[in-house]
Amino acid sequence: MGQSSQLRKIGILLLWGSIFVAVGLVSWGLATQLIPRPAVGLIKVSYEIWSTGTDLDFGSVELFQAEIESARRDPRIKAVVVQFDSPGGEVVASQTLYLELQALRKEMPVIGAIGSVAGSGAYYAAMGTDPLYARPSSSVGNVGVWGYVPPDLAVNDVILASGPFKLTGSNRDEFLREIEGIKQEFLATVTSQRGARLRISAEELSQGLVYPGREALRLGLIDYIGTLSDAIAAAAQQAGTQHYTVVDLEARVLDTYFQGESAFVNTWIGAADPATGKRTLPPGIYLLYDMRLRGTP
Amino acid sequence: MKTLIRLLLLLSLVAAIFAGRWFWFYGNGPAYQPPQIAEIQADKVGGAPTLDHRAFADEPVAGNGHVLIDLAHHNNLTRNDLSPLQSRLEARGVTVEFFNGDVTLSYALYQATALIVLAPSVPFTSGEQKAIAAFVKDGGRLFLAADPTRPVPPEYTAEDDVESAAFFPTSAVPAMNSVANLFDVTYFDDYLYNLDENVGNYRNVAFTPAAGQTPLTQDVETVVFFAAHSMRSAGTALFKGDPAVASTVRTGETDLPPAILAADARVLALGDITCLTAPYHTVADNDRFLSHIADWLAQDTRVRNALEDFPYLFGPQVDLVQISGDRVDPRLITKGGTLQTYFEETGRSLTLRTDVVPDHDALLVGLFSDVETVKALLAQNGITLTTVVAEDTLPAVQPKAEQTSNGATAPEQYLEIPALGALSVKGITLFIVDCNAERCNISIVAETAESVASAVERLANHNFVGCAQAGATTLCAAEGAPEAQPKATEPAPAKRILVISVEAGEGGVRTSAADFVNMLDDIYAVTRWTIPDDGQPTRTDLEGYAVYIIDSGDYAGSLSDSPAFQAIDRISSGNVLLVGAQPLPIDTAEFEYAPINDLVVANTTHPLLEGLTAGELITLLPSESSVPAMIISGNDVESAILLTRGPNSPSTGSPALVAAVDETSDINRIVVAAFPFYRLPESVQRTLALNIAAWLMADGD
Repeated sequence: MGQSSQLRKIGILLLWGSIFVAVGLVSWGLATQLIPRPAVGLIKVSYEIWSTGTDLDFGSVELFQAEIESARRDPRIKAVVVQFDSPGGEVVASQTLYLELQALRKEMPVIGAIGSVAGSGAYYAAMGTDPLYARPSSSVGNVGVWGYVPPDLAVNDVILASGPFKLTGSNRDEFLREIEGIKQEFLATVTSQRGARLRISAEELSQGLVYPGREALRLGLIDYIGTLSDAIAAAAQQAGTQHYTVVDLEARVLDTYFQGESAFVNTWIGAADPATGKRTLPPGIYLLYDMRLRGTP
Repeated sequence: MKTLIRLLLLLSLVAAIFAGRWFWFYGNGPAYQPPQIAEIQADKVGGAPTLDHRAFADEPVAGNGHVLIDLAHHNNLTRNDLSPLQSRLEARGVTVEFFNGDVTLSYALYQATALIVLAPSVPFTSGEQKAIAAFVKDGGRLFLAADPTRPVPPEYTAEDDVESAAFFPTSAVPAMNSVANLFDVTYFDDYLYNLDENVGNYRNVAFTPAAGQTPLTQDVETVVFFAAHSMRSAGTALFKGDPAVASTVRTGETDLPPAILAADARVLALGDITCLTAPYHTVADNDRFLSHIADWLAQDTRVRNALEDFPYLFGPQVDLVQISGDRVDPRLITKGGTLQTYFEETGRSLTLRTDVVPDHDALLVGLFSDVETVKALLAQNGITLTTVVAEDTLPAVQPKAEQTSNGATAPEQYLEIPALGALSVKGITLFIVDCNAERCNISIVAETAESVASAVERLANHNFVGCAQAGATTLCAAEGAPEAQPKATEPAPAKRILVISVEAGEGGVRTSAADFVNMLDDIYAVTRWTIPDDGQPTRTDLEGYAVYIIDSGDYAGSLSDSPAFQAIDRISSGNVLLVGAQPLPIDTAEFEYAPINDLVVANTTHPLLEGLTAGELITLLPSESSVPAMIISGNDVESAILLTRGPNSPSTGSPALVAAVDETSDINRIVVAAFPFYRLPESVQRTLALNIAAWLMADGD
């Protein structure tokens, strides 16, 4: 009797033990699903910023939008770090990226990390991130806009148009005003987003100078000297997370887009040749720091 | 009870698992709170002002003068750019003429009262600089304007890539400074901008008159320049910007005038051209300033009291008066008729008279033989005319009177001219200019009536070659009729030489380009082209010259890189001198080099060797680079060998200076000097340079 009672107790103990283990395992599984390991999404702005209209080519604002949307949809991603290594690009594409990042900031922390350069349109887009990191010698700034002056077409009887600027959209003076308006928008964006941190006047900023990271920090154009890792850590901190993973959103989006096929992605037609620095820009207005003009014979 | 406890433990386990996981991943502070994103201040955007175009009624006051506008220096402008200024000048009764380099600038300036130089991209030659300096010294007005947006036009640079040419234009500032520097004005290769207060764009800068009113800034409150160079000068700054105006080059400087009045208000230098062109001349008070510039240019302040100023030193009515003899010489009537036509072409009338009319401008002609009449005329100008007979005692410096063939002693006349001394009137024509506030006279006195007629022709042709000048007096040789020269209104193309130096002459070694310019500039219109500074000359750059001197310099260099090859390939007509120690683009079997220390003059009567003696040994000056010179292979040269390597040089006897003629080629005559020209002794260098230039020029005559 005594032996059978002991066996019963052992059986009950094993039963409860099994129940505890099973519940524990099930709970762990459920917790893994319900409380996923957090991640910091990484968006790389490593090319001239431009717009294709539909395609997800390198540097296209459509690719960046897809990456931002991917971050939004992924419950694990609690913060995004945007790594800038870009001289800027088209005006509207740069402004789109800025606005998309601002919208994302309403949902999760968006931190900026400048690698070698965030010039012109890339710095404009970086105003959608906060805080902003850069290396001591990163190239930062180049606030301003430029473009090729449209020709002043004379009226003639070969081409008939409904208005004087129908063909060119502008003339020299109007174009200059347009340029000035974009510059003011850019300056207003920087002054509003950097706020009291900015220790440089809008007039000085409009010179279009490129500042080294250390100087940019002194002028309040960035917040910290640090690396991408520092930016990722800060992003996780702002999101209140730890023990996170990092998700390369560009790779993920391209993998999804090409569904496992070998990715062959175009670069912009106006992109600089990495070997020669030469480029042929299509007509337009640019928030572009044309680095080949710096020190190029 | 136990079961309940176990169930509670079970729930605790579940809770612990969830809580633990949550704290593991999300226990790092509070959850993210979206920040308040600052909106931009929309009122600060889109406020770029429009340009303030103003109506202005020009009220021209009749002026006078003859304004010459330079278009001979690859000026980066169109005739349309000049329209507003040109129409203002014409409204003031000023004659506007364009200088395109068909004649030398000094010739073109005879008539001018003002010269306008806008956006030149080729530096002025030393001859042109001298002409402009003399012009301004004589009271001529000079208006200079450069513009940062008007660099050397791409078609005049060697840059083939249009986009590169747009981004990296060749500055035209050195070209402008080649003139401006003569008058203590320096243009900076910069542009002015204002990021604080500007007119729609940082480089559209408003300026206000600097302290003190000048006629050029009267009633002008604000002018707007559309990218302007800054300048430095001891002259008067006409405009100043506000303290926020900055230069792209002169960091930290605040004295940045964009307009200067220099050289006793005879030189106006402006840093912007756009403000003179339509429609930008109507912005702010630019139009008023433009009218003031036209007023300033329409004042003839040129002092004309020299023989070279003929006929422009005269007023509209001039008398031709024979002051000696009872009857007017018929030859003078003929020449006078020619002169009349010439005078009419310059807006003057010439009347043949027998008597001087007081207060009339006059051309007085006479013979030394009419002693009494002429003596008085000469005495008025401090010149003594002495008639000598055999027994007269003369100063030791004066020659004795000659004896005639029949043994009689002919009276001889001598002139005593201040600064020139005493000299016989034989073969002499004397010109005396006598101008005062009321009238101007030119007196011509010669030995014979033929000489007087020739002198009138010489005057009409502006031919004063071989004449000596002392103050108001000019002495010319009367022997033979002077060569017919083109009249000012019918100019012949000037003999132009382009000296191309393959290297810039820096770093302790040199070219001979400057030597050529100095030696030839007095006779020919010489332009210098330095390839490292000016770029590889294009076909257009090489048009219009009679002779090309391509100096490869005294440098160590590789054959394949020699830009001389490219330059000579682009020459479509004209003759060439190739010179230097560098590789020369000539057809020789193989390129060998050896030091060269001396030369021997070949035994030939070639015109290039005029002034040198056959067999003469010429020891060369030391080379500054010690670079060996090219050896011309004698077997391959079908041409006249003029100089050979001397006994102290390797390959003695090899040609060192050769001249070839090929009537079938674009380049008919070519001279090759396989040594640096600067190493020749100075006298030989000059003799050879003049001989070579004359021989190469002669082909075109």
